[in-house]
Amino acid sequence: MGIKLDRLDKVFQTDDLTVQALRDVSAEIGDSEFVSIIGPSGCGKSTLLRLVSGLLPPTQGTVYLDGTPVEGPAGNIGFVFQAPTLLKWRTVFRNVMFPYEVLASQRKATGSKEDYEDRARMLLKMAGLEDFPDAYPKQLSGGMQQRVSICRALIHDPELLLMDEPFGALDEFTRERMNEELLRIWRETRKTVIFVTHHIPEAVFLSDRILVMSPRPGTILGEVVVDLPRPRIAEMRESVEFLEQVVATRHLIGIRPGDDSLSPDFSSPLKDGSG
Amino acid sequence: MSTTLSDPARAEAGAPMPSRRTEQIRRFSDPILFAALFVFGWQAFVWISGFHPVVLPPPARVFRILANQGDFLVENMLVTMRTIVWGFVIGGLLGFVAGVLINYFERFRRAVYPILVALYVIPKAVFIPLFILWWGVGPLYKILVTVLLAFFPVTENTITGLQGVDREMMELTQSLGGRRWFAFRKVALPFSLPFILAGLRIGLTEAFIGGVLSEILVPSTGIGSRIVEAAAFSNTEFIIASIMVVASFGIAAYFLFLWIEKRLTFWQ
Repeated sequence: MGIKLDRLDKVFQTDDLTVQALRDVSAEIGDSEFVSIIGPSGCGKSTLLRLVSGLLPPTQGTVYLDGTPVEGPAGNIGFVFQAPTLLKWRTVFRNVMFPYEVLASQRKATGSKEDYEDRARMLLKMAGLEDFPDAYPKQLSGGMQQRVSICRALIHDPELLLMDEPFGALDEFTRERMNEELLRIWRETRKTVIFVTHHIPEAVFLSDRILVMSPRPGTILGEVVVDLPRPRIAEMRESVEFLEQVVATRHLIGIRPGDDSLSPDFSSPLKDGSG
Repeated sequence: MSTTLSDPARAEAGAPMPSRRTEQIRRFSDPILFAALFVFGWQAFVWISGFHPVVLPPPARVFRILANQGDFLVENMLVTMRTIVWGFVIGGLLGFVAGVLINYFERFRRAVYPILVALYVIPKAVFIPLFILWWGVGPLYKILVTVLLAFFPVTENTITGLQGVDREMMELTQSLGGRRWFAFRKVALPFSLPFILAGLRIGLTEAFIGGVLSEILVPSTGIGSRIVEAAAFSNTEFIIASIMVVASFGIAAYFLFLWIEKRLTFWQ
């Protein structure tokens, strides 16, 4: 699914407060592209995802999905949040099936319940959860719960996957493993992914392209085209090319070692890879 | 915390580890033993203090009432239970509906909130004379008192529960095109169910207060009325026996509810 963000503005207005969350955000994301949005907390990354999904209307500008302007929730989008946000009273399998039930309630389900159930089993297998369809969320670890929520986001075969800091709550080891698993799932399903994070190495490892956003009001400062071969494997995290991309992204955000007053003479041994 | 056989702190302390079976027996034997101890202490106190039986009857006299007039007491308690159950069901239902409306409909909340808060802070007893004036001392008046008492904890907890519903889960439902009613049934309601049930449990104990209190204030039928009569004759042992009957029904109802609650919120 191709996405076009056309000069998006988002202003939140309450009785005594006006917050400009996004200003003049424009971008294009190609079909099957994996794009990360990175930036400091409060730069409107999550708001941007809500505009794309049609949960929130932009104050100005338009989101186009495959050339069609978004005017409300479309139903063909998968959402993964920072918390697994599972329904605690449902088993893993029935959590994964939840989007089917929502779509069926609107007669929007494409296919029979059995088709979705087959797909749920396939996704659980892909996520390494085939032994836990009847487990309840609290019986699983945080990483496993997040994998369930990724399966749930894919059950209705959406063309677009929106991920809002999905691994932000996990420890570093689990996060790296989940990154690899996500890439494997992405390779097999070829969804368009918009991945919000503030973890630079994660963004570099996963993405085709990284959009860097500024603090409030969120604008797009620039982009880094991640020039690393695919498939990406764990060892790449230690390659010079990988670190160069990380540094380039850091510089674009405005993090420079020279700004650190404690080590004024420290200079990067790596060349600036931006541009 | 549950004690398991491998509990290291216990093993290290050299304390004997009770088996699962012993633990299960103790669950029932402990409260029974304590009750026996209480009755013994009561008897001992009667002996030592030398109080007149009108002030403090010995346990044997109370048990005699329970043995001889137990049927009569239970019969009266069942009349009271009718008030309690109706009051609880109506009050709980209204409380739940009010909580849902207040949470989801801003205009409704704005309109009724001040009145609800006023009703909440006023001691409910002030309405009793008014209710009697309007509806007499029949069952309707008693049920209304009970409804009024059972209502508020349910409303309060329903609102608290619905406020705590995971926002992102609601967004997810919405992003798939789910309607409000669907999201309410499948997400918000189960999410807040533990709170709602806890509110209902408090409402149930309030309903017991309402049922008995309304009878004590205006005696006619029910166990509360029998208590007032007995008090007029200084029949202390009868009063204590009645209290025991009320307590037994209260305990039974409470634990029955707790049992249902646990099963309905098995994921907690």
